[in-house]
Amino acid sequence: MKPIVDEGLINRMCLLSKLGLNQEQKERAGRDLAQILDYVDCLEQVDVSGVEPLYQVLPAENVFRKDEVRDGAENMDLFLDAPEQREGYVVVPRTIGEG
Amino acid sequence: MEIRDMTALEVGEAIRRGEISIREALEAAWEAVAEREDRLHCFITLDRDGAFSRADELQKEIMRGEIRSPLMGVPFAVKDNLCTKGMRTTCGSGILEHFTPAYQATVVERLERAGAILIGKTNMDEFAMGSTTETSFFGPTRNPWEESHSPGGSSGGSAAAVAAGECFFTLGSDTGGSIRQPASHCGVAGLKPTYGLVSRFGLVAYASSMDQVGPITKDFKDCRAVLSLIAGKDDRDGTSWKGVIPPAKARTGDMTGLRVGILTGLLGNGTDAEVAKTVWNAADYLRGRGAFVEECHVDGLDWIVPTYYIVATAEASSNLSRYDGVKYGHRAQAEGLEEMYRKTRSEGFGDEVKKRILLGTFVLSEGFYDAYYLRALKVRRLIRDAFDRAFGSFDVLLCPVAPTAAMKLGEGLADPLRTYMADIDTAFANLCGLPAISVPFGENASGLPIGVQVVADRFGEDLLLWVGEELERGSIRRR
Repeated sequence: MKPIVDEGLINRMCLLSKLGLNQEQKERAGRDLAQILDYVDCLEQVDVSGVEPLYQVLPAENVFRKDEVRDGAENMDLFLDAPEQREGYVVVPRTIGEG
Repeated sequence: MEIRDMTALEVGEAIRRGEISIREALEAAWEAVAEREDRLHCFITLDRDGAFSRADELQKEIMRGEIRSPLMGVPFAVKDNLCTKGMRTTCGSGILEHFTPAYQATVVERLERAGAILIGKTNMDEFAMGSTTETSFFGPTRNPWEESHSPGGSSGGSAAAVAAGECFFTLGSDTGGSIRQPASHCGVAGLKPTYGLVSRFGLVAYASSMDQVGPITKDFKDCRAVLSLIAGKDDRDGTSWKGVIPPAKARTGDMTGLRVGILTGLLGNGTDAEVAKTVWNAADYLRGRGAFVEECHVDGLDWIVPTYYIVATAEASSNLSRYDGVKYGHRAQAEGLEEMYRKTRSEGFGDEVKKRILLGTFVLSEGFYDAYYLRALKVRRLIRDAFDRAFGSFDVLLCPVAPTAAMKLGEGLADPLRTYMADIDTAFANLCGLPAISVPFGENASGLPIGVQVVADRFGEDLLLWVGEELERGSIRRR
């Protein structure tokens, strides 16, 4: 069940990952993706019936702690890297009425 | 002995004994930087003033007899994907070119608390995606042994800086081999610890289920000293292991009873004869010390790289969604929010990162999730089970770190799939959470270093570092 890597597929992946590629980059991405999918194809032959997926190598358990502020960064320090900020808020381009 | 030729522990001891000052240790590092950094480009950021003012504070403590650790006063550097409060952290990416974190990675905090002196941030492949340090937004690092060659990657700056004497030890990160492979190519010692042993808090995430921070050092005594300072439970990393790290066992050089398995499945096609010979030589050396050495066959080695790239890119595509130009990092000028996201990411990420985001997005997307991502996770379990079985018969496994010695600059980028495939030697340890070291042991005809890899069962660091200490005595590259 090998997917066909065409421009439609690349456009969809670009949309999902919020990447804009020009025509040349799209063609290269298509070639790269097809090559890698070809390479990883061998996994299709592996018998995985009855095998559980392994997400984490160590047994994961939820970690709880009291909801207390501990050595948290100072509120305003976190704004020092913001591309645009005003009075303790991060400013972004208009979100309403887009498109 | 010249200060710059000393190990980190030797420098620490000389400082404590008052034989040298911390300033002298720093001057030795800066001398090497002045001589070689222009050509090698191990660093993205250096902080000379900060390091010297810290040196003066620590020197006063030493005068008062206040000793923090064996590495007090020793200059070190960390890979530029470890957050350093007040010091720029770029991850080798244009999107974080001007990012200065408001907090400190746990590992950096622990080393500073131990009195080691951070001198700067080392170069790396962008977001640790690469094996040559050439995908760095800031340009490549060169191999100190042969400047026309790559130091390996992605922690190439960290490995090259230690090899060139620009600092006495460094930290790298290893998601698929990124500590061990550059350590091998630069002739230094490298350890990827067991998943969970070292906190990932403050490590910029690539593939969270496999990322680990570890030391790159001149020898394995240093490696052990650095690990003991950075390892251990951290409340700020939910995956950090809460168990107690057992103290090192007292051992002699006699290896009788140690069961060593040679992963012959990794010595075949595509592996340079000189690399294979180095592994066989290491096996002979261990046998000569009394170890029981036998070939070990593990099923499914061909699945390692496909599984690794599916899992790693899937996790990366999710982790890197945070770079959207809103709260930190590069922001592109755009009319609307959607366009701002898209332009920011398109301008800020390099080609290799975009490629991996697209692949990761694909394997997680509707219609392909089961066939690629979920299947890879199932195969991941089969791989882990196969290695667990191997550790039923062997204490450690021996294999190459990479199929070849360091590549010429440009070669890796020219053949990306071949570069991916080279990860077969290292990525299984990340898929399985196993600790593994690269030990400088041999060299090729042109004098480039070749390391051998030793892998232990989870939390087998004590045993692993002992084998490293013994093996390096047999290296033809003894200092």
